[in-house]
Amino acid sequence: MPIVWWTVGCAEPALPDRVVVVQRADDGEYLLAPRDRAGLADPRRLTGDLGVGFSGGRLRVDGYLDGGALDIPYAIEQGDGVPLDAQGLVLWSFWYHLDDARDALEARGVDVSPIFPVNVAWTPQSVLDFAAVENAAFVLGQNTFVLFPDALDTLPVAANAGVVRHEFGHSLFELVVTGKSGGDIAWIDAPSDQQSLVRALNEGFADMVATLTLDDPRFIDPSLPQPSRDVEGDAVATPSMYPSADAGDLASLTYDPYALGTVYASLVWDVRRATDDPDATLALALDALAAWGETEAWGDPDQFALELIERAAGPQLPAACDAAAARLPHLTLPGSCT
Amino acid sequence: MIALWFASAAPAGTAGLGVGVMAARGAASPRLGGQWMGWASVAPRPWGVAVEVAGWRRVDGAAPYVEGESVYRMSRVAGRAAAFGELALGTHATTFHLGLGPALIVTRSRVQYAGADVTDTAPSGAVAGRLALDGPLAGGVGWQFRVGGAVHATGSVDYDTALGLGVAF
Repeated sequence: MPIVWWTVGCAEPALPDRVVVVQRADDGEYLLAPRDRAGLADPRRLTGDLGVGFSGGRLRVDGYLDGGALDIPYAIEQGDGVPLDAQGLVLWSFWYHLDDARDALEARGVDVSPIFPVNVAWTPQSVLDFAAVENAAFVLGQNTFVLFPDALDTLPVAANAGVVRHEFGHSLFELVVTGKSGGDIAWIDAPSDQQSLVRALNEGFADMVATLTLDDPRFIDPSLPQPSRDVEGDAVATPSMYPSADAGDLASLTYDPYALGTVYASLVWDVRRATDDPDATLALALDALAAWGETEAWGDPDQFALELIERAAGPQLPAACDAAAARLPHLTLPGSCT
Repeated sequence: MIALWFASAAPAGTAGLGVGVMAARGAASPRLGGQWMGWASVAPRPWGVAVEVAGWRRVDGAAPYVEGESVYRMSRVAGRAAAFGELALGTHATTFHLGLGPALIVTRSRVQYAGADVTDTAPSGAVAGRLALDGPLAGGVGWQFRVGGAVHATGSVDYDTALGLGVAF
């Protein structure tokens, strides 16, 4: 008898043609709608062409120890897969936002294939500095996204297309700066203040990916309204945003990389506003980031702005010069800006 | 002492109803919820058999962050029936049970969204285990405290604990 019951439980459900997920409409509102299942080969396990989903597990410095397969229950209603609990809805939505992020970059000529396949880890234990609620993150060096439950009634961060693109931006940062995805992190042996500065540029670049591919300067607002992250705001670099070289490792743990990151993202958004061309602006930012990565100037993220100016063409050049002068007032601009 | 556990006189069994807490599996992690349960246990030490039925309801709530009619509302009720073969040990009145056996868990989920009202009933085979203490109180009243878990065929695990009152016979 136990074998019979076990068999009943093991029966694999039929696969839906489409799945119901949270989608972002063109006007920035979020709604529920079905979409083609496409690359999600196993909705129950969150497994497909993007990677593999896992439940729990442990996130360690030397890698992610998965906690086992996900088990997302769903029903099929007129061909549409309907997740039967809130976690499933969020996880499926994350999957398709990530799929869209990949498509958005590839449509702009960026080869992001080295980033995949990825792990998607739901609520892993971690000794790293991730908050265990209201958070989504990408783990550099491990090709792993980590997702945590939401405590608010706002749009879950993992179901926010902008947040997913931001996190995907981190994976792209790693790829562009180091030329590879996963493995040892190039700046891991740099002094802690320099690592903090890389984090700042990393956060800024992730915001560039989200804001420019969605053409939305406030993508995070549906989840966590954060005026300080508004790239149309008045973010200007100040000395306090740069960690001191003698501040020690403890200071790096409490360093806020978003403040300076928002300065860089705002600088790039200024170029987008002046040129009215988000795609060309993103391409410029990618070129500048690759050049900055080649310098390995981990302690000098402002060099990114100079690389941006050097590569700006046509109307981008005065826009980049003006933006750098406004956002990084301490920076000595190159002669091409005069 | 061990001999006493095996040899001491004991009540033939207990049966009753109880309430407890269930950490039922969601898509990815357990969610706490209230649970009711009924049990019957016969334990001619050192062996015993027991049956349990349990039920719980969990409301995942709504997803209010989406627009208008597409708000997602989810709820789930589930029932579990399990039978255990047990090792039953104890001294005097109280019996300790270590049981393992098959279980059938039936989950009925309801999702409402965008004008649709979807219900789904899914059976799942499981292997259940339990640790329990039970025995008589005064006047033929019986009690039981138990903790247990069930490993679904899909690999997910439910945990629960419950305290109950009933009859001792």
